[in-house]
Amino acid sequence: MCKKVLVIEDNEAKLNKLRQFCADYWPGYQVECRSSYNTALSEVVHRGKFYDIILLDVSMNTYEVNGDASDGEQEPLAGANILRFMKLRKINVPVIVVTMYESFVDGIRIDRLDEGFRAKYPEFYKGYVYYNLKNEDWINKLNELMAGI
Amino acid sequence: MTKTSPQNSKRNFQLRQKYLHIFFSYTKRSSALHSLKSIVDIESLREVQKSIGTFVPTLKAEIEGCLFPADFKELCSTLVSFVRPFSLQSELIWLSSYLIDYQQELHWFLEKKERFEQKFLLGEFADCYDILEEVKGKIGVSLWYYESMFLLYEYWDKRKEGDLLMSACLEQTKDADTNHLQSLVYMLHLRSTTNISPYKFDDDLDSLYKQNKTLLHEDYYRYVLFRLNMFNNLRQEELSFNMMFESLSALVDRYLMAVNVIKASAVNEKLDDELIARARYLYSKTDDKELLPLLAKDSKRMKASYYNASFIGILDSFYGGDYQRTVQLCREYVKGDASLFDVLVVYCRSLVYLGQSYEGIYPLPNAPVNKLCSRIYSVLTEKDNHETVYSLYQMNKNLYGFHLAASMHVFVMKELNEPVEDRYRVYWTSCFDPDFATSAYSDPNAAVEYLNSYPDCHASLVCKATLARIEGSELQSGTISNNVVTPHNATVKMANEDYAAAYQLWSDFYDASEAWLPNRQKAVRNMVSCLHKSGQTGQAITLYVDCLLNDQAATLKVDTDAIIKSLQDNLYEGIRRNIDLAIFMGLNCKDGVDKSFILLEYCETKEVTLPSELIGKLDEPLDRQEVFFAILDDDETLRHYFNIPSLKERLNERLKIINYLVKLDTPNKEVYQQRQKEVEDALLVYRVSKNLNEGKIYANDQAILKYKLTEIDGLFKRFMRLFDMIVNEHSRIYVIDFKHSTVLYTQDGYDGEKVKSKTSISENGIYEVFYSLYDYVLDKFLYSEFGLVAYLSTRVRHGELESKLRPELAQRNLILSMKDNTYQDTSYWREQYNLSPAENTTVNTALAKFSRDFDAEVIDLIKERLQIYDREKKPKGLFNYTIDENELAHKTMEIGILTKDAGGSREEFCRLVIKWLWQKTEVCLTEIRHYIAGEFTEKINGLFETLKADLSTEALPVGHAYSFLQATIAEASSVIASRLKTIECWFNITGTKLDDVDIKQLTYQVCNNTRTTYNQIKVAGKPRIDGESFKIKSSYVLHYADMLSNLVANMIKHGVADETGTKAITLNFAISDKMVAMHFENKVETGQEEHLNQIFTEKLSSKASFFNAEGGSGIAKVNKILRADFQNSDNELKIWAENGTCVTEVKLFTENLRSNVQESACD
Repeated sequence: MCKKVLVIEDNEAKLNKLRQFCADYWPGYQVECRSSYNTALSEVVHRGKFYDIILLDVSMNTYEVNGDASDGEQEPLAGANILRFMKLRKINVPVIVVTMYESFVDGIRIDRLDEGFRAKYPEFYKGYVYYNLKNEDWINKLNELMAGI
Repeated sequence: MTKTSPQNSKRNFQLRQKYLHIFFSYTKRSSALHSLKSIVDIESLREVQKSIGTFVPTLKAEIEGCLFPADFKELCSTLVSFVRPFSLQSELIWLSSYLIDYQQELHWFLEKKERFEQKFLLGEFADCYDILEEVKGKIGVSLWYYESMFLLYEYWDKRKEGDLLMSACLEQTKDADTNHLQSLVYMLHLRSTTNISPYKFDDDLDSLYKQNKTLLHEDYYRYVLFRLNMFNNLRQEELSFNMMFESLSALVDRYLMAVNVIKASAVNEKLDDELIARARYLYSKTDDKELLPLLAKDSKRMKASYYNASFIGILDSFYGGDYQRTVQLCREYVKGDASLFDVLVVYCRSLVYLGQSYEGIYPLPNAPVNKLCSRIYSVLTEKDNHETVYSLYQMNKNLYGFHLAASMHVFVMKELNEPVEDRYRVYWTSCFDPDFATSAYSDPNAAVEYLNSYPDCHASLVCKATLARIEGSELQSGTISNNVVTPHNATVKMANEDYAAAYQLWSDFYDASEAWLPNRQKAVRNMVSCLHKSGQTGQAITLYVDCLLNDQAATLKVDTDAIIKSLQDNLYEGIRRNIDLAIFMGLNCKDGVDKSFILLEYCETKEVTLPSELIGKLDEPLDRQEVFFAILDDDETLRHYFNIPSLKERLNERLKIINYLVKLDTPNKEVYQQRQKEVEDALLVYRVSKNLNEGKIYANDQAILKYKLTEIDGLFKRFMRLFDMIVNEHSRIYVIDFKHSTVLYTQDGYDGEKVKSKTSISENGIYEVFYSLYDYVLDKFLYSEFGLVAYLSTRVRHGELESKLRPELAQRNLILSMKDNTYQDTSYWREQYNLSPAENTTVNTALAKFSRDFDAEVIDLIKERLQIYDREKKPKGLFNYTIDENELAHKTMEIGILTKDAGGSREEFCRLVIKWLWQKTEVCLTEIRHYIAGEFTEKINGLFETLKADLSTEALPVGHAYSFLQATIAEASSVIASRLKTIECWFNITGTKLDDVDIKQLTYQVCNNTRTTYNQIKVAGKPRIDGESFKIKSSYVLHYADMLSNLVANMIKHGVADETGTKAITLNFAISDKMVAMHFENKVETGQEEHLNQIFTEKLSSKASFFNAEGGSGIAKVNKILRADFQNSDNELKIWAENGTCVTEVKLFTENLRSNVQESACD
């Protein structure tokens, strides 16, 4: 049976890169995408167990952007909230955080978030990749983490 | 006189020689003096000092500094080079070595201090003033003197004199080199103000002194925290710095600090024999009763004066349940000694047990001791005592230097449900205190020994009860009141894990405490705890909710954190998803995700998708449902509830819940109606707001106003007071500007040059205070979780901007990717167009250069330009909120006057400052758009031009490669230009800005919304709108909606239904060039017309209701909107009843309502 990866990402360019990455390096995976906190959480809670890997962004819109006022709200730590929900619902699907931010709301840095995730979610959190538009180092790191699952 | 033995004499000689040698080996005097601090007994130290003194005549003066400064200038003028202390011991010995020469002065001062505190608490302020003047005359000024004087003025209702005294002190020293005491006195002045915001004071101290550059600064920062906020900072590892920094002040300050650091050591359980010896030594010189608890720790028996029989008599009377007598005893006691906080608490408790309302403990109503008692009484009896606890904490800050401050602090902390130990207070109780036995000793035998040292121990009820507490044995009821026996026995049973029996006792205690809130709080806390600890967490939660419904105030002390933590640790396993759990979590859990998770699982058990679908499906009593739904109406919980797919749906969900709450028609109906209005407004804003793909600049100013600015109350009141003084009396007020001051300025830190402070003193005090307020609001506006920077980071800076541009170039193979910080060549052009190696190098060199420059420009834009301007850190930042002197002066007056005219509230002030901040933001955004459209675009265009030139025919042969490259560059250049236009449009404000709206569309929406709100009433009739529509300016949209919804709501609510139960209404609108004419009709009771017309006339003519209609509803409010908010006195509202019909007519002139804005480039 085909393996499935869920990509949770609201930045279109990054999402395309991640899709391309999966196609190039993990061709056996079927890619499903969600681009808001709300739709991602719904997918994870309802169908999370059917995925083999989740690639998760940290900050994103609360709701799908429809060109109206829904865009008015951001969830700066949406990824962290999704991880918490997974823990509460015992959805133990491996998660790799893919972020292009160095720091988040209140100045929390990615390495501190990573430390917290490792401590709180050892069952399914597998680490993070720092994504950068300029270089492709992230590809190797993501490959490494995915191969380790 | 004791004779020195030849052996001692020889040793002393050797010691003197040794230290003489050491002393003179130092080039720096500070280090030389410091070397003497290693001598660890006072006599030897004095000997050595004397010997060196024969060679250095100024030595004594150098050691002592200025012990009795004549004025503020002298107090602040001692400059030294600090050397890091060896230990607390050595600092205490050093102080003792010269204090011995001034024991009489100290003794005299301590008597005066005690007398001042007593007179002050009893409100005899003129006597207090005389005492302070006497102290100043005899031993000069001190930190204590200034603090006491400020406090006195504050409570004597002479605040202006306090401000002027501080101002005069600063004027005196504004041009002098000063030490750190200048700013310390300033902070003491702030601490003594009655409207101080105590939590902000705590926070400010943390932030103000966190700029440590050297170890000296770090130690100084700790000292400031200890000096100004001691009871929150007792747990310091090293206390010697506090003595070192205080050593520049007057003798009395140094002494008081010495006593406090020994007590702090005791609290930290570091009271060793050496420290006790130091305390004993000081006591032998001063007879200071403040030292007695330190000596008591070590003594089997204290001298008789330590055993205060009157105090124990009061406690015995209280423990015996004779509350009438206790009240009398307390009243008598405070006349001679008001410094025992426990007496005040026992007094108030006795009044409550007697069922009496508050009566002063002292005949003078305005005496601070009465203010204290009345607040304690309120804290003990009020259902919601939040504000009284706050005011008690304020008073605690004011009286921080008083004997009773420690006990007060502990009392407040307990009321705030903060962890605090009794040990914090018992070392500040200077007489025998049974609580000392249970708090100061870890060894039960020592505790019992302490108790037994009281001569009447065996006859004392309080001692008997304390003994049982130490031994963990139960008490028999009889001589001791059940108010003591029951909770005591219940506590013993809990300690023995007999939770069922303990629960029963706490339950009995609750039942017996009907009028006694603290006992009920204690009982509920422990009943819940018993259930939780015995593994019945579900029942504990249900009990909590039961109490919440029947006796809400009694639940305030429940340790909800402990329950939540254990639930979270167990991932909520083994606990039923019921309404009680949802209420408990909704009310107490700080984590929105967890609250939402519990709600989701509760909804799942009820087989519903949305929370609002629970309406009508629950079997629980209505009061439980009301609490549940009221808690549920919370954005924080619903935001994480993923079955709600959009913001609009979330608002609709909230509206359904609130409508239900309103319909319940409970005493909270008005609160729900207010919420209903807020959500309706939010929905309206949602429907008519701009397409938010455009502007990305946002700050949730309403949340900032609501949650982030309550702590500036004290500073705001100070601003308004200064505003009055300066504007009306033309006074000149000097203040310290901490932002531009450097306290203890030195490059070297310890052991360097003499340390000065560079304090910036401004004579326009009000500007500085206004600036502090502005700065505080600005900080929240920018950096809080609701602030602009949080949104700017996630919406713009974090990758968003970059990803709008770079992929366009990457897709066209014009930008190179990077590895190990080096741009990697692309093989695309070589492979596609069969380039020669030389051509390939040319292309890749040009692309690498372009990539580097392009990335650099984008990074510069993101990391340097789209930042908050900071002269040093972000000099190119385009969000510039700096204000120059002229603007500051102008805005101080403008906002001061507007605030005063609007009633002088903090809320109004903050609203005006935020409005100003938005205006400043608009200016910044214009600048940013200008920069992106101009300079930035030009730079990017320039890069494309360079790239084109680098790949010109001179570099590449004419052919396919050349043509395609040039065409691709041209195409990319055009795409990037278009993207930059999009990015430029991001820099508009969203959220706060409404679009201008079509009036017909708005009218339909409002009428429809209002009908939806009253969906339980059948209404017939739709709006009919004639004439040509126009766009109404955004600034009037909410006023128009408010007016219309009020009118329609009134018609629906008050109209009479026909036989089918339907209320027929007519809503006709006629739009002409100049006005919108409205004609509405609804049915009313026949025969009631005259009565109704009377009401209408009254409402329409009442000036009072016109001006006070803010927040109200109905006709007066509509009239106010029409005339005031639409700013046109020709607008008209007529309303009358005739022939069973109520007619409403509105004439709304539209000249200033019509939008004349051109469509912008961003639309």
